[in-house]
Amino acid sequence: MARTLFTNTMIFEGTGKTLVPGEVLVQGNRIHSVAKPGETLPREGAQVVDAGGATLMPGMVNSHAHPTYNNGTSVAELTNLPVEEHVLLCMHTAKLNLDMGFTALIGAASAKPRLDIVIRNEINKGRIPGPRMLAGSPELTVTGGLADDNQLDAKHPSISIICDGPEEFRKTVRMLIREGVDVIKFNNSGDSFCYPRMAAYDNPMTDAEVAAICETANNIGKRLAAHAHADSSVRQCIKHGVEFIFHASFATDETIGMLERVKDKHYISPAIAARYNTTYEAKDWGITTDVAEMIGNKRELEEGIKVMIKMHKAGIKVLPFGDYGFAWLPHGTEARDLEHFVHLFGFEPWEALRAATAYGGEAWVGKSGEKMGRIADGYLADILLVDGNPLLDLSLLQDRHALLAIMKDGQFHKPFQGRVAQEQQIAAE
Amino acid sequence: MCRIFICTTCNRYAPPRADETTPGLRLARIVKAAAAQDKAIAVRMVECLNTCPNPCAAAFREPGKAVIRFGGLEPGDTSALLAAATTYAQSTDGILSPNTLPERLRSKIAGCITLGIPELARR
Ligand code: FES
Ligand SMILES: [Zn+2]
Repeated sequence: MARTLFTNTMIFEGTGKTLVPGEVLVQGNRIHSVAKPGETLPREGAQVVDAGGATLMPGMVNSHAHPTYNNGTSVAELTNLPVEEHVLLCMHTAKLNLDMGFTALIGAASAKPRLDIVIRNEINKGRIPGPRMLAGSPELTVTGGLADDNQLDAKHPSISIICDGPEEFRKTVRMLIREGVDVIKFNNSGDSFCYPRMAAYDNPMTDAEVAAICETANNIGKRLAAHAHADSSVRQCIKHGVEFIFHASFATDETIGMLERVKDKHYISPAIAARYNTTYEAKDWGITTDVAEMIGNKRELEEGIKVMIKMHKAGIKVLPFGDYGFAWLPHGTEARDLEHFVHLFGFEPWEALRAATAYGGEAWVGKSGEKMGRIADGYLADILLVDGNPLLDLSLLQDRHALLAIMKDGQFHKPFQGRVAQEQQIAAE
Repeated sequence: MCRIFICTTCNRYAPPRADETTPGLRLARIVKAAAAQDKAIAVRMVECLNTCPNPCAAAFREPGKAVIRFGGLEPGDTSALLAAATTYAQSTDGILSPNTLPERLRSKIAGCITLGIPELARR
């Protein structure tokens, strides 16, 4: 089995508060062993990578990824291209994600039903580069809900499958599982992105509908994710065991308390960029801060910040990234979330990185018993070498030139060419 | 220490062939090379700064300060950008009034966000 030995590294283990000097031996697709400071590991038969003091950390996990979104300017536009072009676009986005240090993605809704599925399959067969992927379903929504953009006399294709009543949802969930999705995603709240139809704090789904979705998916061992801004949406997620709760912007203190009691069962993904960037950095696409305020996006941002501060303090697992793939939060810029977690939610930098790696890995593997997201014996060898200390400057992770090496599943996607070589390359280019 | 973020994708809406360099990447390399003498300035080459319709783009984004974005940049703006970065680094709130900026950058401010200052202060 191929062995790669990383020496002269400063290790971010995934859960530690500081970097620790050490060595890491990869054998096959796993981390075989990690040497503590002062110890060494056997060199025999290994390709030795002297990292020159670079940081070695787990690959990042995007636990709320939409690799099929086309950087469009509205929800309906996200799927407004022929399926042939759309497949190619997803292929490029998957590679971009890996180039930016994301070694695993959790599909949080696919713009067309089989896009996540086919890209995942091609990646798994080693035919195209990309992160490990869990394939998401399209957004399951009700008539008039988020991502139903139709009118009586005008049909508008969107990123959803529209169902009404438990039986329609049951049938659709079964069909999607037959096609190969890993994660069933449904929208049990509105959003500023469907202004003026339904506000984020409104929930259009009945309890019977949510129960039907969750029971059908759970029976076949599939994972569940919900677009759940409203307080009642979050409560439905707790009641019906929805693992991935997206946004949760309007969760009340009582609901946060309920979540705290079952915090090992849920991951919260605020997808902060869909609020921050839309409110403050979308004016070139016609969304000024005043417009963002009118449609309710600014309020989602401000309420969401308050809620995430409380959830983080309560020890609830709040995860970064999410919803990238719009024009003003395009793919490739996901790692900016890490700084938002520090400056807006009060995370320590190591906590933000823990959420991006150890917690993300734990979320990805679920109950499978697999090990992902840490630099420890037996964990999958998804590893980044970073040119500097991300705990001192998280923005390093936004710069692909600072990622000196990217390893996924024990194989280099980006081989290490030395710290100095990288500098020279930039200078020469 | 000040960081200049530069978008290497610009122009998103006129992408070059896969083997060609984007204007954004060219600008980033020029600024990075010019900043190399100054240990107080770090250049982050990023994928986008949400200024895509007005390439090329750069930003200052220090914690606790206003986020400033510039658009319509070209290599000739390099020294002005470095000077502005120093002014930004020295200011307490990061809010740069046009008359504190080099002349050629005054019309190139693409955005100024002050969120973050109260958030940080509250901690
Ligand atoms: S592509 Fe350069 S700012 Fe978006
Ligand atoms: Zn989403």
